[in-house]
Amino acid sequence: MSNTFPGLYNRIAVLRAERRLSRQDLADALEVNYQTIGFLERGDYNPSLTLALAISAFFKLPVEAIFSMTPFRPLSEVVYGAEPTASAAETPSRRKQA
Amino acid sequence: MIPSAITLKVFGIPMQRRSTRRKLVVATYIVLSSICAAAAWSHTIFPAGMTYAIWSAIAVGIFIFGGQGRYGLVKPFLNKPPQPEPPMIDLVRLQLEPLSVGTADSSAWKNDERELARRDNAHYVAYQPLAIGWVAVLMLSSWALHAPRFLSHDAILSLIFTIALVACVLALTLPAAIILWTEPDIDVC
Repeated sequence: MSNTFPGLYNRIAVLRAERRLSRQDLADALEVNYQTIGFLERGDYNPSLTLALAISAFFKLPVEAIFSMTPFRPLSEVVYGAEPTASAAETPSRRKQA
Repeated sequence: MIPSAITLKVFGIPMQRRSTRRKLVVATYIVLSSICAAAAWSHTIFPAGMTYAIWSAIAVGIFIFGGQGRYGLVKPFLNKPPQPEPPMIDLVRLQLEPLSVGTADSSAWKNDERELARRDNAHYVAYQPLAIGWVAVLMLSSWALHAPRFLSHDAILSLIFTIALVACVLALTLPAAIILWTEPDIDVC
């Protein structure tokens, strides 16, 4: 019954931190409860298509830049080509967000 | 599901932590169980005891657990703002019923998609055991017409009364209790 299935990753926490927004700010913009933002960031809840598109529109990014079925590569790796360390590659937090 | 707009305190105790909410749920059900037990034990000599048990469950649902109006910890299940309280003016003395003209802030009371999913899931989980209770009542009712040898007619009626009473109390309170039990700690945004 839970709207969560393994394998959906998102970058909401990174994008929110980049824009220096609180969870409440983002929640107000998306018209959801701020707790829901926490659930999304932790990967405990997968958004509906409507909410995913609203998040995408809010950050002005394509949906696939925010959500992915495969883990995101860390920005350090994407931007600078740094190889992920073995320990970092296995941390649970990396599974949830890049 | 647990709104920031509604006060998160019950009897002055903050309810942000799930462990505190679970203690509240357990304490509330201990009290309700005591009332139900007293009502079931005394229903032959004091039939109004059942009324007290039902009213207690309604009061818990409205004022403590929530989900049914402006009070309580859980947002209204109806997913719309509760009716604003009418102004206390002298019209009351004239036996008129003043309607409130102000509208409540609907966004604070509206459930988002995750909260609606939690609400629906809580009702689904709550009504599974309740369905078993009602089936038991139905089967016992058929026995009440033709009592088997191993059970007296009075015992069957007492069983029907007790199961129906407990099922009513749970139907009134269990969905909100499940939400309070399962919702994680409320983090400060």
